[in-house]
Amino acid sequence: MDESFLSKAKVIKAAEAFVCVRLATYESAEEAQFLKTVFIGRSGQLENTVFCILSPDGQRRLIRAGRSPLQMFSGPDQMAATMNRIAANYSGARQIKHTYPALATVRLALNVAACDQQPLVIVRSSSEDERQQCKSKLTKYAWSDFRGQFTFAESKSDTELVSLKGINKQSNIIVVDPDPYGQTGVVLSQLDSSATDDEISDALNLALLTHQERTSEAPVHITNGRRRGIFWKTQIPVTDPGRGGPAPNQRRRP
Amino acid sequence: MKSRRFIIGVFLLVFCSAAAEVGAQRELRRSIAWYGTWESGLAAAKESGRPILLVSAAPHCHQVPGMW
Repeated sequence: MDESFLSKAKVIKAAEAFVCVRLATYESAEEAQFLKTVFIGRSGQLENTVFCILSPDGQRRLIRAGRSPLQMFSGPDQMAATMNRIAANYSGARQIKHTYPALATVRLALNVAACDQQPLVIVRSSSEDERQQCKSKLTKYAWSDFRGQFTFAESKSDTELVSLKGINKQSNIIVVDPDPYGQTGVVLSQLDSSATDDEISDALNLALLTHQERTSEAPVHITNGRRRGIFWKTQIPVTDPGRGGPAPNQRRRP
Repeated sequence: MKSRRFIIGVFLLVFCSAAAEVGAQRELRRSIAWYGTWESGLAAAKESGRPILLVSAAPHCHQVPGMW
Protein backbone atom coordinates (compact mmCIF):
# COMPACT_ATOMS: atom_id res chain seq x y z
CA MET A 1 0.00 0.00 0.00
CA ASP A 2 1.38 3.33 -1.01
CA GLU A 3 1.20 5.64 1.99
CA SER A 4 3.04 8.60 0.47
CA PHE A 5 -0.17 10.64 0.23
CA LEU A 6 -2.07 9.19 3.19
CA SER A 7 0.71 10.12 5.61
CA LYS A 8 0.76 13.82 4.66
CA ALA A 9 -0.59 16.35 7.18
CA LYS A 10 -3.04 17.99 4.74
CA VAL A 11 -4.56 14.65 3.80
CA ILE A 12 -4.74 13.52 7.44
CA LYS A 13 -6.52 16.78 8.32
CA ALA A 14 -8.93 16.47 5.38
CA ALA A 15 -9.67 12.86 6.37
CA GLU A 16 -11.22 14.06 9.64
CA ALA A 17 -14.40 14.95 7.71
CA PHE A 18 -14.65 11.37 6.39
CA VAL A 19 -15.30 7.95 7.75
CA CYS A 20 -12.01 6.26 6.88
CA VAL A 21 -12.15 2.57 6.13
CA ARG A 22 -9.12 0.45 5.40
CA LEU A 23 -9.79 -3.15 4.51
CA ALA A 24 -7.39 -6.04 4.20
CA THR A 25 -7.74 -7.41 0.68
CA TYR A 26 -8.29 -11.21 0.40
CA GLU A 27 -9.13 -11.53 4.11
CA SER A 28 -12.93 -11.66 3.77
CA ALA A 29 -15.01 -13.16 0.97
CA GLU A 30 -17.85 -10.69 1.64
CA GLU A 31 -15.57 -7.66 1.58
CA ALA A 32 -13.90 -8.97 -1.58
CA GLN A 33 -17.30 -9.11 -3.30
CA PHE A 34 -17.95 -5.52 -2.28
CA LEU A 35 -14.48 -4.36 -3.37
CA LYS A 36 -15.06 -5.88 -6.81
CA THR A 37 -18.07 -3.59 -7.21
CA VAL A 38 -15.82 -0.60 -6.49
CA PHE A 39 -12.80 -1.38 -8.66
CA ILE A 40 -11.53 -4.14 -10.90
CA GLY A 41 -8.30 -3.61 -12.80
CA ARG A 42 -7.37 -4.67 -16.32
CA SER A 43 -6.97 -8.22 -15.09
CA GLY A 44 -10.71 -8.43 -14.51
CA GLN A 45 -9.99 -9.65 -10.99
CA LEU A 46 -9.75 -8.11 -7.54
CA GLU A 47 -6.25 -6.69 -7.27
CA ASN A 48 -4.12 -6.15 -4.18
CA THR A 49 -5.15 -2.54 -3.62
CA VAL A 50 -8.33 -0.53 -4.09
CA PHE A 51 -8.91 3.18 -3.51
CA CYS A 52 -12.01 5.32 -3.80
CA ILE A 53 -14.18 7.93 -2.08
CA LEU A 54 -17.77 6.82 -1.64
CA SER A 55 -21.08 8.33 -0.63
CA PRO A 56 -22.19 7.74 2.99
CA ASP A 57 -24.36 4.78 1.96
CA GLY A 58 -21.37 3.18 0.22
CA GLN A 59 -23.30 2.95 -3.05
CA ARG A 60 -21.95 5.82 -5.14
CA ARG A 61 -18.39 6.57 -6.19
CA LEU A 62 -17.60 10.26 -5.65
CA ILE A 63 -14.33 10.03 -7.59
CA ARG A 64 -13.01 7.57 -10.14
CA ALA A 65 -11.88 4.40 -8.39
CA GLY A 66 -8.38 3.04 -8.78
CA ARG A 67 -5.60 1.18 -7.08
CA SER A 68 -4.17 4.00 -4.99
CA PRO A 69 -4.24 7.77 -4.39
CA LEU A 70 -0.97 7.94 -6.33
CA GLN A 71 -2.87 6.78 -9.41
CA MET A 72 -5.72 9.24 -8.91
CA PHE A 73 -4.08 12.50 -7.85
CA SER A 74 -1.05 14.51 -8.93
CA GLY A 75 0.03 14.90 -5.31
CA PRO A 76 -1.16 15.09 -1.70
CA ASP A 77 -2.19 18.74 -2.15
CA GLN A 78 -4.60 17.81 -4.93
CA MET A 79 -5.87 14.87 -2.93
CA ALA A 80 -6.52 17.04 0.14
CA ALA A 81 -8.19 19.74 -2.00
CA THR A 82 -10.49 17.14 -3.60
CA MET A 83 -11.36 15.69 -0.20
CA ASN A 84 -12.12 19.16 1.20
CA ARG A 85 -14.33 19.91 -1.81
CA ILE A 86 -16.26 16.67 -1.35
CA ALA A 87 -16.56 17.22 2.41
CA ALA A 88 -18.06 20.66 1.75
CA ASN A 89 -20.97 18.92 0.02
CA TYR A 90 -21.67 17.09 3.28
CA SER A 91 -21.45 20.08 5.61
CA GLY A 92 -24.63 18.94 7.35
CA ALA A 93 -23.04 15.65 8.39
CA ARG A 94 -23.22 14.71 12.05
CA GLN A 95 -20.43 13.85 14.47
CA ILE A 96 -19.42 10.24 14.13
CA LYS A 97 -20.47 8.03 17.03
CA HIS A 98 -17.28 6.06 16.95
CA THR A 99 -17.04 2.44 17.95
CA TYR A 100 -14.04 0.35 18.94
CA PRO A 101 -12.16 -0.09 15.63
CA ALA A 102 -11.34 -3.79 15.93
CA LEU A 103 -10.05 -5.79 13.01
CA ALA A 104 -11.70 -9.13 12.28
CA THR A 105 -9.23 -11.37 14.11
CA VAL A 106 -6.20 -11.10 16.38
CA ARG A 107 -4.10 -12.91 13.75
CA LEU A 108 -4.93 -10.32 11.11
CA ALA A 109 -4.58 -7.42 13.54
CA LEU A 110 -1.10 -8.58 14.60
CA ASN A 111 -0.02 -8.64 10.96
CA VAL A 112 -1.59 -5.23 10.22
CA ALA A 113 0.06 -3.77 13.33
CA ALA A 114 3.41 -5.07 12.04
CA CYS A 115 2.69 -3.55 8.60
CA ASP A 116 1.93 -0.18 10.22
CA GLN A 117 4.76 -0.57 12.74
CA GLN A 118 2.36 0.15 15.57
CA PRO A 119 1.51 -1.49 18.89
CA LEU A 120 -1.63 -3.64 18.94
CA VAL A 121 -4.31 -3.20 21.60
CA ILE A 122 -6.31 -6.35 22.38
CA VAL A 123 -9.45 -6.46 24.50
CA ARG A 124 -9.58 -9.93 25.99
CA SER A 125 -12.37 -11.60 27.93
CA SER A 126 -14.77 -14.49 27.55
CA SER A 127 -17.46 -12.19 28.98
CA GLU A 128 -19.34 -10.04 26.46
CA ASP A 129 -20.09 -7.44 29.17
CA GLU A 130 -16.47 -7.19 30.22
CA ARG A 131 -15.27 -6.84 26.62
CA GLN A 132 -17.87 -4.13 26.04
CA GLN A 133 -16.74 -2.29 29.17
CA CYS A 134 -13.11 -2.30 28.01
CA LYS A 135 -13.99 -1.36 24.44
CA SER A 136 -16.02 1.62 25.66
CA LYS A 137 -13.06 2.87 27.69
CA LEU A 138 -10.64 2.46 24.79
CA THR A 139 -12.85 3.91 22.06
CA LYS A 140 -12.37 7.52 23.12
CA TYR A 141 -8.59 7.11 23.00
CA ALA A 142 -8.69 5.36 19.63
CA TRP A 143 -10.42 8.37 18.06
CA SER A 144 -8.84 11.28 19.95
CA ASP A 145 -5.55 11.47 21.82
CA PHE A 146 -4.07 8.33 20.28
CA ARG A 147 -5.77 8.62 16.90
CA GLY A 148 -4.11 6.47 14.27
CA GLN A 149 -1.31 5.26 16.54
CA PHE A 150 -2.57 1.80 17.47
CA THR A 151 -4.15 -1.19 15.80
CA PHE A 152 -7.09 -2.77 17.66
CA ALA A 153 -8.52 -6.25 18.11
CA GLU A 154 -10.61 -8.24 20.56
CA SER A 155 -10.45 -11.82 21.71
CA LYS A 156 -13.06 -14.08 23.32
CA SER A 157 -10.68 -16.99 23.62
CA ASP A 158 -7.06 -17.35 24.69
CA THR A 159 -6.42 -19.75 21.82
CA GLU A 160 -6.02 -16.64 19.65
CA LEU A 161 -3.32 -15.33 21.95
CA VAL A 162 -0.94 -18.29 22.20
CA SER A 163 1.69 -16.59 20.03
CA LEU A 164 1.91 -13.62 22.41
CA LYS A 165 4.42 -13.59 25.24
CA GLY A 166 3.92 -12.20 28.75
CA ILE A 167 0.14 -12.05 29.13
CA ASN A 168 -1.17 -12.22 32.70
CA LYS A 169 -4.24 -14.34 33.37
CA GLN A 170 -6.25 -11.42 34.75
CA SER A 171 -5.47 -8.91 31.99
CA ASN A 172 -8.32 -7.61 29.86
CA ILE A 173 -6.55 -4.80 28.01
CA ILE A 174 -3.29 -5.96 26.50
CA VAL A 175 -0.93 -3.80 24.46
CA VAL A 176 1.45 -5.84 22.34
CA ASP A 177 4.53 -5.03 20.28
CA PRO A 178 4.32 -7.20 17.15
CA ASP A 179 7.42 -8.83 15.72
CA PRO A 180 8.40 -7.48 12.26
CA TYR A 181 6.37 -10.20 10.52
CA GLY A 182 3.31 -9.96 12.77
CA GLN A 183 3.56 -13.59 13.78
CA THR A 184 4.25 -13.13 17.48
CA GLY A 185 4.25 -10.27 19.95
CA VAL A 186 5.58 -9.16 23.30
CA VAL A 187 3.37 -7.49 25.91
CA LEU A 188 4.24 -3.83 26.45
CA SER A 189 1.56 -3.08 29.03
CA GLN A 190 -1.58 -4.74 30.37
CA LEU A 191 -4.50 -3.83 32.59
CA ASP A 192 -7.65 -5.39 33.94
CA SER A 193 -11.17 -4.19 33.16
CA SER A 194 -11.29 -1.95 36.26
CA ALA A 195 -8.51 0.29 34.87
CA THR A 196 -9.13 4.01 35.18
CA ASP A 197 -8.82 6.47 32.29
CA ASP A 198 -5.48 7.66 33.64
CA GLU A 199 -4.16 4.11 33.88
CA ILE A 200 -5.22 3.40 30.30
CA SER A 201 -3.66 6.62 29.06
CA ASP A 202 -0.41 5.79 30.90
CA ALA A 203 -0.39 2.25 29.49
CA LEU A 204 -0.85 3.52 25.93
CA ASN A 205 1.86 6.17 26.37
CA LEU A 206 4.22 3.56 27.80
CA ALA A 207 3.54 1.31 24.82
CA LEU A 208 4.33 4.11 22.36
CA LEU A 209 7.59 4.87 24.15
CA THR A 210 8.77 1.25 24.36
CA HIS A 211 7.48 -0.02 21.00
CA GLN A 212 10.32 -1.04 18.66
CA GLU A 213 10.01 0.13 15.06
CA ARG A 214 11.26 -2.09 12.25
CA THR A 215 14.57 -0.99 10.83
CA SER A 216 14.83 -3.14 7.70
CA GLU A 217 13.80 -1.90 4.25
CA ALA A 218 11.32 -3.79 2.07
CA PRO A 219 13.79 -5.94 0.07
CA VAL A 220 15.59 -7.07 3.23
CA HIS A 221 12.30 -7.71 5.03
CA ILE A 222 11.01 -9.84 2.15
CA THR A 223 14.26 -11.73 1.63
CA ASN A 224 14.63 -12.51 5.32
CA GLY A 225 10.98 -13.53 5.55
CA ARG A 226 11.34 -15.93 2.64
CA ARG A 227 14.58 -17.36 4.05
CA ARG A 228 12.80 -18.02 7.33
CA GLY A 229 9.83 -19.54 5.56
CA ILE A 230 7.37 -16.91 6.81
CA PHE A 231 4.44 -16.67 4.39
CA TRP A 232 0.99 -15.19 4.91
CA LYS A 233 -1.97 -17.45 4.24
CA THR A 234 -4.88 -15.37 2.98
CA GLN A 235 -8.52 -16.21 3.73
CA ILE A 236 -9.41 -16.28 0.03
CA PRO A 237 -7.17 -16.80 -3.03
CA VAL A 238 -5.00 -13.90 -4.16
CA THR A 239 -6.08 -12.80 -7.65
CA ASP A 240 -3.68 -9.92 -8.26
CA PRO A 241 -1.86 -10.60 -11.55
CA GLY A 242 1.35 -8.98 -10.32
CA ARG A 243 1.83 -10.62 -6.97
CA GLY A 244 -0.87 -13.21 -7.17
CA GLY A 245 1.22 -16.34 -7.07
CA PRO A 246 0.85 -18.63 -4.10
CA ALA A 247 3.53 -18.71 -1.47
CA PRO A 248 6.22 -21.30 -2.14
CA ASN A 249 4.88 -23.54 0.63
CA GLN A 250 1.39 -23.40 -0.89
CA ARG A 251 2.35 -24.27 -4.48
CA ARG A 252 1.07 -27.45 -6.02
CA ARG A 253 3.59 -29.73 -7.60
CA PRO A 254 2.99 -30.38 -11.32
CA MET B 1 18.81 23.05 51.41
CA LYS B 2 20.30 24.33 48.15
CA SER B 3 21.27 20.83 47.04
CA ARG B 4 17.71 19.58 47.69
CA ARG B 5 16.30 22.39 45.54
CA PHE B 6 18.84 21.57 42.87
CA ILE B 7 17.82 17.88 42.86
CA ILE B 8 14.13 18.75 42.71
CA GLY B 9 14.84 21.20 39.89
CA VAL B 10 16.76 18.59 37.91
CA PHE B 11 13.99 16.04 38.50
CA LEU B 12 11.32 18.48 37.26
CA LEU B 13 13.42 19.36 34.22
CA VAL B 14 13.86 15.68 33.28
CA PHE B 15 10.18 14.94 33.89
CA CYS B 16 9.01 17.89 31.77
CA SER B 17 11.44 16.98 28.97
CA ALA B 18 10.14 13.40 28.92
CA ALA B 19 6.53 14.62 28.86
CA ALA B 20 7.32 17.04 26.05
CA GLU B 21 9.02 14.27 24.12
CA VAL B 22 5.97 12.02 24.43
CA GLY B 23 3.77 14.88 23.18
CA ALA B 24 6.09 15.63 20.28
CA GLN B 25 6.34 11.97 19.27
CA ARG B 26 2.56 11.66 19.39
CA GLU B 27 2.21 14.69 17.11
CA LEU B 28 4.78 13.30 14.70
CA ARG B 29 3.03 9.96 14.53
CA ARG B 30 -0.43 11.43 14.01
CA SER B 31 -2.04 9.59 11.15
CA ILE B 32 -5.42 8.57 9.80
CA ALA B 33 -7.50 6.43 12.14
CA TRP B 34 -9.20 3.64 10.22
CA TYR B 35 -12.17 1.40 10.62
CA GLY B 36 -10.87 -2.07 9.82
CA THR B 37 -14.06 -3.72 8.59
CA TRP B 38 -16.57 -2.64 5.95
CA GLU B 39 -19.49 -3.39 8.27
CA SER B 40 -18.28 -1.06 11.03
CA GLY B 41 -17.17 1.71 8.66
CA LEU B 42 -20.38 1.67 6.64
CA ALA B 43 -22.45 1.81 9.84
CA ALA B 44 -20.51 4.89 11.01
CA ALA B 45 -20.89 6.57 7.60
CA LYS B 46 -24.62 5.90 7.36
CA GLU B 47 -25.20 7.09 10.90
CA SER B 48 -23.17 10.30 10.50
CA GLY B 49 -23.92 11.07 6.86
CA ARG B 50 -20.22 11.48 6.12
CA PRO B 51 -18.53 10.30 2.92
CA ILE B 52 -16.20 7.31 3.03
CA LEU B 53 -12.49 7.33 2.30
CA LEU B 54 -11.95 3.72 1.26
CA VAL B 55 -8.61 1.98 0.99
CA SER B 56 -7.96 -1.72 0.71
CA ALA B 57 -4.58 -3.39 0.67
CA ALA B 58 -3.12 -6.84 1.15
CA PRO B 59 -1.13 -7.07 4.41
CA HIS B 60 1.74 -8.92 2.80
CA CYS B 61 4.36 -8.16 0.20
CA HIS B 62 5.21 -11.06 -2.12
CA GLN B 63 3.30 -13.20 0.38
CA VAL B 64 5.58 -12.16 3.24
CA PRO B 65 3.58 -10.60 6.09
CA GLY B 66 4.47 -7.47 8.04
CA MET B 67 4.55 -5.15 5.05
CA TRP B 68 1.76 -3.66 2.92
